[in-house]
Amino acid sequence: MIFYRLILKRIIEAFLVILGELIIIFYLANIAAPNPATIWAGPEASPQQIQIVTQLYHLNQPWYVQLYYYLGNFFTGNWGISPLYQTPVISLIEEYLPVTLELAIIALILKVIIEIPLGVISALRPNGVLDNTIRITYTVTRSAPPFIVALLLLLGFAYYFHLLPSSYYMNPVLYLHEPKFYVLLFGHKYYIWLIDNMPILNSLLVGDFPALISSIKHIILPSLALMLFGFGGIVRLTRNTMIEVLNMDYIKTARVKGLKERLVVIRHALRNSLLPTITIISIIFSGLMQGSLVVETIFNYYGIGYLIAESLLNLDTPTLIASTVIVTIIVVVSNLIADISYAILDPRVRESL
Amino acid sequence: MDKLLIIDDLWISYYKDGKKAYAIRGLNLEVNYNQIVGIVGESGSGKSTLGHAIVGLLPSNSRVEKGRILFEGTDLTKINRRDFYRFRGKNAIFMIFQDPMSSLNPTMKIYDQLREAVQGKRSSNEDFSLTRWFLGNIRKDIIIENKDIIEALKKVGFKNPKEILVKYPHQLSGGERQRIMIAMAYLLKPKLLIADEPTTALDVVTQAQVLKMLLELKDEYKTSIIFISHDITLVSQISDRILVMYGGILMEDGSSEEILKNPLNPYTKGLISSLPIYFKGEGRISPIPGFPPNIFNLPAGCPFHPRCSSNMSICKLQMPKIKKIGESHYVACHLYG
Amino acid sequence: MNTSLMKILTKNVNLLLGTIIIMFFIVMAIISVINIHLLTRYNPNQINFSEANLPPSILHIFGTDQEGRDVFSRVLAALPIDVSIPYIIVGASVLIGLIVGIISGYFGGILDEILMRFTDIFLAFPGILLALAISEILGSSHLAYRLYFSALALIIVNWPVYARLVRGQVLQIKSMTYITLAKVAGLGNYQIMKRHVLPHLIPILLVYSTLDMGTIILSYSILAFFGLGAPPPTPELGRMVYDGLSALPQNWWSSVFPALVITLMALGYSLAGDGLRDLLDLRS
Repeated sequence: MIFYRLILKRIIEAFLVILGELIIIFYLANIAAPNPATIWAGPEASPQQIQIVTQLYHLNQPWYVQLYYYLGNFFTGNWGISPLYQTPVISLIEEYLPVTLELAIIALILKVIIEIPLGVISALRPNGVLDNTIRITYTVTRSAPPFIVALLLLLGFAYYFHLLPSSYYMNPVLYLHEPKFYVLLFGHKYYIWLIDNMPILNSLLVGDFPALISSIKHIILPSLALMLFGFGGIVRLTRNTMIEVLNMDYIKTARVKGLKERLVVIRHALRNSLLPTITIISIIFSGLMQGSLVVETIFNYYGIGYLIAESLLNLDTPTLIASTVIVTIIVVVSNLIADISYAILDPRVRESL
Repeated sequence: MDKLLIIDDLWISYYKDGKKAYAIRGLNLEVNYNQIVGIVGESGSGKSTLGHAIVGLLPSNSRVEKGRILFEGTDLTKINRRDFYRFRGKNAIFMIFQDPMSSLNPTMKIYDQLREAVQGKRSSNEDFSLTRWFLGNIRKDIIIENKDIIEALKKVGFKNPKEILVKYPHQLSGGERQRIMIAMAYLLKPKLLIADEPTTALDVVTQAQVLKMLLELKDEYKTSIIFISHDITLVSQISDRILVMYGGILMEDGSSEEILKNPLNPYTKGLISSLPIYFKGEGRISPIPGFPPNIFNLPAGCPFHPRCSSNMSICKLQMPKIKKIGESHYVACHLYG
Repeated sequence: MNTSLMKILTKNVNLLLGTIIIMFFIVMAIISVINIHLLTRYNPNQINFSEANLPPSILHIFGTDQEGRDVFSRVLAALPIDVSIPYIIVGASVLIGLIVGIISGYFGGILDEILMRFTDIFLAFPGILLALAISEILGSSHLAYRLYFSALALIIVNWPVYARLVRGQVLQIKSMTYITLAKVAGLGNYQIMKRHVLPHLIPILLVYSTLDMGTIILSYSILAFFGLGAPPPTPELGRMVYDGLSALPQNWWSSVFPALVITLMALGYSLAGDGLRDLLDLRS
């Protein structure tokens, strides 16, 4: 298991990348910005507030001092105060981020479940009727901006057919409980705080049935809209990879061993065709996080996309910066996970690393 | 005496860029049980297409236009893709390919790939049965399978089979991979094995080992082998019969001895005289002048006539028909009527 | 010469269709700049509450928005910006990426390492987010110039992709014609070598940048959606979608039609890019 060296190396690289990104953001917000104090204090700050902010963030001092405090603040969770919401940014993110994570993960799962089989179907009969239909469809959806899909779904299902709710992640009347479990240890109750603020997961864990149903109903449209953003990338990749794979000699060998066609496709062809998809999964996930900006705005879904949108529209820069950094970190981490999974699945890669 | 394989007037066409060509024209072939038949030809001769056609692996731009391929009485040309698996693998037809590097699935362990061969149709046909699982039958199957697999690996010359099993194909050399393929053949015990240039990518020493293993396969399991190659000496080392193909047509068909000692078709003669082995040290080796044809651009009449030293005027016009000369010697050439 | 061009176009449906769409929009944008009233009788910025929220009809092809402005005219007026900005962004990204990529790939060594690390960090950012941040922060004090900062932001985010692409190609070329290059090295100087390397890069850059145009159109529309584009009242497709949101669901046309136009524009480049790829890659 020289594996661990590989994982360690990747983790360090990821960390360095994150550090580099922090520095870039720092440069952007504190140095390149025309007026850093206003940025941190908000557009409506009074001169005294600006003064306080300048002191607080050491904006007067040379860049290396600023950088030191900046990085220190970042790693201790001190991400500033949002002028718009008047709360520490970190608590905002705590509140909004998990919602989007849930949404994005569901969208990702949907994408994979739907797009990969479509790619396989396409590949089995290239240039056939199904293949051409699928290809035309995804050519169009690939070019569609996230708004159009969201709008169409919203209008169609929510407004005209009144099938599904049009906003929020749960019926506002219901309350989202936080799953707190406790452990009795030495006569004291120790609270274990599990995942917070993920509507479906929370309601599932707490056993709150109406909340569960409501959050599921509310997530259907946004997740569909998000899934359809950039729909077709995986289909195309799977299709092309599979067509190549099906022409390889080892598929001939598998057939010639007497295996049924279905087994050949699933056990041999598919396994090898999935590898490139895993490579781009983090790109897809990154795209989903970006798409959530628009989708959450349109559906009024209180996730981090919505938060970023609000901070953009209201010039709430601290929140914007922190959210951007957090999402970036998530993307880097997902890339890391994808890399490692790839190494697990493709034995050839393990050696060369 | 039933024949294992009878090919009757086979015509196989091939489409590319809208143009049609014939990869095989009017081929007739018979393979007995427990017999090794060698097929010799240059590129474009159709020999590889023949192998793929028999096992049902013709590419989608290729099809059987005419003729039959009778395997133990069943016409394989009439079997569709979905049902063909019945005629492949265990106790049926198996095929090993030229390039051992790509013949094995790179993401599966050797053990898993061999196990598929042993389980054969059971893993694909039978559903998982709970009763058998409970009764421990499946465990017994696995133990027997493992034993078979290890034995097969020993037979193809692996001293430490258990080490090989956990490896991946890219960790083995070309020769080792080809031996794994032969081990697969040992496990499947096919009635007919098609070996499509199995030694072309290997070094001479491994080549000899592979030939030896193929012979053992035939002796032990009575497997018939169709050995396809461009190298007539190689083919003659293990074949009982040799077929010579050129431009999609069968040029000559006879026992190994007859072909080597008494080649009738000028092309066959050319093949043999261009070999160093038959070079007695006088004069020079005479290769056949010219280049093998492109099937989209075949000359009319006999495909070999542009390069043939015994070229006659009729060779340009008509394709020669197969004639029987001698007990089991057939030739297609206008020199013989 | 014309017939071979025709032949290429007709064989390749994608390219044909894509080019038609692209040309169509360019023409419409040009007409719109010269004299928008050739195509429509309404003033795109004319607020007229008595005509607000009218559904699509013969009079108003795309209907009117909440403030009575004809959506079709607004779309036309938005075209010049929405058609030309992507060209600027992609053009600049290609240029910068090309230079960085060639230097990095050609000279190799530590320079290559440093440049690539730098590029990687940029690549790790989810593009639109960084662009949004840059655009917002830099443009916070000069609202009127937000458009330029947004374009700049997208260029900053986009050039690393080209740098990587070019570098990869240069490495390949280096290994292929290395011997030739070594010979030429005796006589030539960097300029000559750049003339040998550059031609090989053109096909892939052409294909990629065409496809990228589609992506940039989408990205830019998202920036505009969030108000980081041209200042109002100048119409802009992305912004129109946002403005129309508050009128939902009764007035769906003021959001949907601009979004559809964006889709069509991006589709044109997507098709053309695919067509170009089939054309060029399969040959070389």
